[in-house]
Amino acid sequence: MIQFAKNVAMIKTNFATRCIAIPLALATGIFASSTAAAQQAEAQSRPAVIQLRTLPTPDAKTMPAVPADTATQKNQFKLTVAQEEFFQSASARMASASQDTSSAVYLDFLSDGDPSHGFAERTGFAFRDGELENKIDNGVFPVPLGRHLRQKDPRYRHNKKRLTRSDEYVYDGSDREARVQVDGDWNIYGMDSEDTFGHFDTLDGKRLVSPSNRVDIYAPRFSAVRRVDNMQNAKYSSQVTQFKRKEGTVLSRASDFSASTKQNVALDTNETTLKAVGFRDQTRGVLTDNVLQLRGSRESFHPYENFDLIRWGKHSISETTRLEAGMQAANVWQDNLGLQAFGKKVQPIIVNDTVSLQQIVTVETDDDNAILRVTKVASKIAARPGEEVEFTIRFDNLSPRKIGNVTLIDNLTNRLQYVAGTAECSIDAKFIHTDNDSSSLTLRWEIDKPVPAGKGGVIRFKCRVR
Amino acid sequence: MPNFKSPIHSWFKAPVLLTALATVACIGACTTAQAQLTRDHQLLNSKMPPGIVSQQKLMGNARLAGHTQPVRIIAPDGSRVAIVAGGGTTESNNSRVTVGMKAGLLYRFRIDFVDRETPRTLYPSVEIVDRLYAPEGLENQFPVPVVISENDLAQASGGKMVTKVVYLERSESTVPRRPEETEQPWFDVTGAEDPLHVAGRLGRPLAILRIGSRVPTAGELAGPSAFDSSRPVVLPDPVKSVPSQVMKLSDQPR
Repeated sequence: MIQFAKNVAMIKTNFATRCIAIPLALATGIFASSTAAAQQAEAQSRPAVIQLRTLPTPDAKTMPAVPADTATQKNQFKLTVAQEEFFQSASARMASASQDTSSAVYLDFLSDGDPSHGFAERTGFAFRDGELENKIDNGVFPVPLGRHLRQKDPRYRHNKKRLTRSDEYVYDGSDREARVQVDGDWNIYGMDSEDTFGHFDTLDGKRLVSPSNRVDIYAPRFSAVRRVDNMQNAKYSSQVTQFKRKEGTVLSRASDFSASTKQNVALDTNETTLKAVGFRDQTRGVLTDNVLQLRGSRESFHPYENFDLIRWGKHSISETTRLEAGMQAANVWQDNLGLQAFGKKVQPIIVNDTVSLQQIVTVETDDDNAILRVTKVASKIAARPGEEVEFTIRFDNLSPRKIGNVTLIDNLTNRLQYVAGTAECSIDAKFIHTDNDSSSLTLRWEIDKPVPAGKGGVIRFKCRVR
Repeated sequence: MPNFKSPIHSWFKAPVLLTALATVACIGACTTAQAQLTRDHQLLNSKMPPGIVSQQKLMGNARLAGHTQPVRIIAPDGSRVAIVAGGGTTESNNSRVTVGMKAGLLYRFRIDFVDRETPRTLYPSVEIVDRLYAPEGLENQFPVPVVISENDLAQASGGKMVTKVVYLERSESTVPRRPEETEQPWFDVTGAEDPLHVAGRLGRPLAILRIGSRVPTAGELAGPSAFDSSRPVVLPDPVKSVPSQVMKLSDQPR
């Protein structure tokens, strides 16, 4: 069966390279050159408000069954009966249409009428420790594709040393530390705390993983260490004697704090109470915030989501500054300023700007490789313990083909507590949450139907900072 | 058979042996010195006179120079916190005050409270040893909280010296807890341990609070540098953030 899949993939490769160069170029052109136009047209036809549906809280019955023993099959990609039939019909159609170079035939082969046709069935999932071996030959290999091709090293962990970390922030998103991989039996390897990613299946039998960007929330937390010295027990020590005679006080403070002249200087510098004038302005802003009362806008976009990237799946350069809010605070923590990673090749291009707190991952493609872009934003850039933060995940199928079994996963860190009943999704999905190793939850959305080319969805949920 | 020995061989052999012995001796000496250097010895400790640790930190960290760090002094409800500086104390009826402090200086407060139906007054001191790096514009919304508990005041009123080091927790190793402004988690260390060092192992020390039972004389308080204290910048209290609540349009009152 696997050999048959490889044959089909090889046939399709020959078919694509030799016989349908024009359709492929058209397909490439459709995406590379007219993505903006298509999305603009789509934007015009799409309503301004996405109806988000509140997902039911799962119970034990809806939890997927974990395979008992997948050690022998975890490296294989299983084809369902429907998928096998699909490949058989596809190969027959490709053989009959080998002389036809029109794009219609090629695209018709991709769509095939049935929206669920061509993808494996979900059988459950499990989280595994360690890393999956490189499965490029099996068609199971991780994304980001561009990074792999650029680094030429499949073991490259893309953000291990890229993103700076501060002990004052709570992070959520991206693929941290070990690389996330999903095998043919839905086992997920290398999932660390804070990871947010999506995995999906392609029509040619691949299961790919796309990490999201990282969201940073300023949320410092404090504790204290105390020591109580009993002066009565130490009254026979020399220090206590000096204390009673006030010699110790005179010696230490008269000498060390002759620097009290500096303190007088400090009093002058405290004329910076001019800043207090500025604080009045901030207080006014707070009053305005209380007046707004626009938090009742459910089933619509929130103010913090007011990006073209979230609304239409289209990134505008003019919004980069807003996405990089808080950048100056991050600059304090790192010496290497500027663009951290930049690459452009034939394959999908990923420009990863890691300077900003709101990390921006821009993905472009000029061929027909399947890419799922996962973008994450938060409603606040700073929060105190106890406050709620709303996260929005936008996912888009950036390839000219449909993708199936789209699954979005957010492994919450220990500082974030999921607020029950707040998960929403703009399209039909099954919401599952499980406990994780960080005393928090792993959130999982399983999109029911395949996502067509150029389409996507929006996910929302709330967390309480603790 | 004559015992033939090359002169070159004998000339070469002795220096090589001496060199090898010297090398071994040097390695041994270096290992001993290395072992001494790796001892847990820290330059600063909380037993230093108030303000010294802050001055040392200021000399070693350029980012502290000129920075005013917002600090929120939180005393038990019912007490009064006043600022001691410039030969007097400010009038206060509040148990909490938010001020801006600079590293290298010592700040002193006066706390009036009631301990077992007895009015008492203590003069705790606070020094800043590190700063926060909040996003621009939000510095005053996230001050360093220095929480003075009732137990702290009771211990100091009993003649003991309370040294409390407030540190920033590492986000990854924190334990989830219910947030309360007046309850700052703390634990005691023994006299053999230094709270500054323990806090450094758990996170990043930010402030040192010292509370003793000594009451300054009127002459000490009347001096220009009253009781070795500087005048902080009084800041407005942080604004309580409105928790984001999702409300259906149909739920809104009409």
